[in-house]
Amino acid sequence: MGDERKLNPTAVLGEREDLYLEFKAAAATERPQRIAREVVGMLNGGGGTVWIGVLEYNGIATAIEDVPEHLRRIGALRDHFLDCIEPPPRGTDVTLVPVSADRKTVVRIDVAAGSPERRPFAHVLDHRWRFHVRVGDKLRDMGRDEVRKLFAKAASARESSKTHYDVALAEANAELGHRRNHFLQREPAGMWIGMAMSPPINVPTDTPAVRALLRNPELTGNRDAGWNFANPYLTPRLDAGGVSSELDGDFRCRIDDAGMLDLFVARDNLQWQRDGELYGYVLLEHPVALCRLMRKLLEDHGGQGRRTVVADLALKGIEGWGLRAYSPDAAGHRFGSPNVLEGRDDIFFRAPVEEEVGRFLANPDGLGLRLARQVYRSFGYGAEELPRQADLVAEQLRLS
Amino acid sequence: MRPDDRIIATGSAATALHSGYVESGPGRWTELGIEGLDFSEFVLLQTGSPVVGEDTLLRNPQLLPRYLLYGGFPGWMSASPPEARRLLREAVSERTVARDLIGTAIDLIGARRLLAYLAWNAGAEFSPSKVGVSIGHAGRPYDYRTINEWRAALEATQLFVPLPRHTTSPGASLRSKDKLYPVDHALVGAFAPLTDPVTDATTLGRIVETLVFRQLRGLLGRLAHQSPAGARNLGYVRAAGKEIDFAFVGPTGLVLVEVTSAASAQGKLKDVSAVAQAVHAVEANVIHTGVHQAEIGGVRLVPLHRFLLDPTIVLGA
Repeated sequence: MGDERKLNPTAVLGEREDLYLEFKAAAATERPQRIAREVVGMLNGGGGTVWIGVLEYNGIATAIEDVPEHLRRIGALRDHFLDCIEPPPRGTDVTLVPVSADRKTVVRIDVAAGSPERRPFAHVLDHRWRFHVRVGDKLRDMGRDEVRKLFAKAASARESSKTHYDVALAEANAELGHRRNHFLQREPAGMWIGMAMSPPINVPTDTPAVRALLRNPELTGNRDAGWNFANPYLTPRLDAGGVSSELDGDFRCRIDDAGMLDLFVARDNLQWQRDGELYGYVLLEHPVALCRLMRKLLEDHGGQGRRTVVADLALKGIEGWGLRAYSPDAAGHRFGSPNVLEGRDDIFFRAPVEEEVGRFLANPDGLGLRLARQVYRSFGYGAEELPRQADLVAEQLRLS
Repeated sequence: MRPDDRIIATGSAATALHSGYVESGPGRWTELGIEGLDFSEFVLLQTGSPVVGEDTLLRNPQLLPRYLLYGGFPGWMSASPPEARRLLREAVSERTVARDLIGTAIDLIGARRLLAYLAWNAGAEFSPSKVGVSIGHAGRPYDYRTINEWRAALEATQLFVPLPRHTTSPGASLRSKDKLYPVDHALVGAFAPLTDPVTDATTLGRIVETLVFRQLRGLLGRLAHQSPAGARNLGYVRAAGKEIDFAFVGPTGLVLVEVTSAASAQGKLKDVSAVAQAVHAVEANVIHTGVHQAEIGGVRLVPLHRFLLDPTIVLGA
């Protein structure tokens, strides 16, 4: 697709849907699963573009219409894609962009052809996996044999294209998985956040500069009146592989020599003024603050270059605990009822979240907010129900 | 109602309540001044923990920075700090001052200008002519008599507390000017013309100084309650060409308290030591925002959080 048509939705008027082009009305955002199907079809094919807010007649684009609250809807679609497409899209696999023309804003979804190592992509809905592929301007369900062959091909492609980089990333993921399992099986109730970078970097944890990061939150762009890993009253201690700030089973933040971060906060310190309820700022600020610490380590210790940041979060022992929507200073928070976690004791996610280092360094908050949003989703909240200080468009946490 | 029953009525219109008391209250009711929350009360309200100690701060390191931001006014603690500052500013300047002074002949606009000036310049010596120049507008200073009148009106609202010079010389006492502090340190930040007051070293210094003054008033009140000799004469002290923020006569003698918003108190040691010798102080303290407690050359270095948890630490108790 030419640049002109990418930037100006009116330029696609008169175009016909084909293997690489799909039009959807604005109302389609109410049913994100319909859009996710198309995205999966393109990931399994040669990629393409889905326009939301372009009306079609017999497959030909006839008019554009405004997508109301487009930023919120983009956030909801992104969430849905991450939740319901397997393996989850990453990097530039799927990009959602608002495009304006004639005082109307439509949404363009650019889908890259899925890499052979990751195909086939599936749309997972109600625990059912569906493998779609785009044929002409239509979607087709893939047959069992077709899927099996693609899985075999992917395994072989992964094996043959494996690089040191891939091995390091797999190791980082595995290490985080190991630490998360250790938390879930062995540690007291609370919240755990782990972060790693792949390939690892060398952090001189025995230097005063690194130890100071665990005491003064402002050194990493965090606030001293907030909820984060830094504690001025604790003296960081060196051990064989890193430095940690620890309070007998209540709190732990550790930076290891390879730049892995490990944070544990006991359950009692996840609540604030209301017993048995997770406090929104705590959930938002801890992961974002840890991401800012990771950025500082990357910047100070040569973390640029081809690298991936991996992060994971888990909560334990919170069955029956509540979480309120919106910002604590909003009436909807104060007077509403919390959603309560029922039928499960823990919250953890199927895979760590990954981000390419360039993007992470430009905006570390984004990764932390993705972790926090997963927790809110586990309590049944949509993106618009997070505290307003979480700016999901700019992907920044704005707590003063 | 039984004869021994007592009725407690609360209100924040201090001037109006006081004038009512003067007209018909003497002998029938007692006027009690209530300050904002002290640090322990603030922590209790925020965490619900009935026991407030060092352990509470270890688990909640954000409590002290939050107290510096929000002060002892519980009404706005769920608001973000900028919003809380705006609400406090409006409540004090639009409601409290207006309500208290509406029945007087005071120029409310001028009184509000003075309020904002005094709040941000907490701990400055009060010189009515200089203040008149500073808050005058269109190149016209306010007359010092007007400023004195407004000052008296603002003190009657109990929003400001004077700190006299601590001296044994009646002459020096008469010649010295009072310092004025807002009743609560949150007022300093609320009226600071800055987006983030605590990141400004000067403003943070005033906030911490106002906070220490508030805790010392509480301490002296408790000591007076415990024993008639108690503690008295809280003021600032000048000697040996230096000035120390606070001094008072405690149970064992003169106690000096110098305050710094820095995390280290090393820079203050020499001055405090010199003044302590000149005025024969029995205790000399520097309260700082760091975490290290020590005694160097007869001067005790006290972390702010330890002082807030237990103000008697400055007595050497």
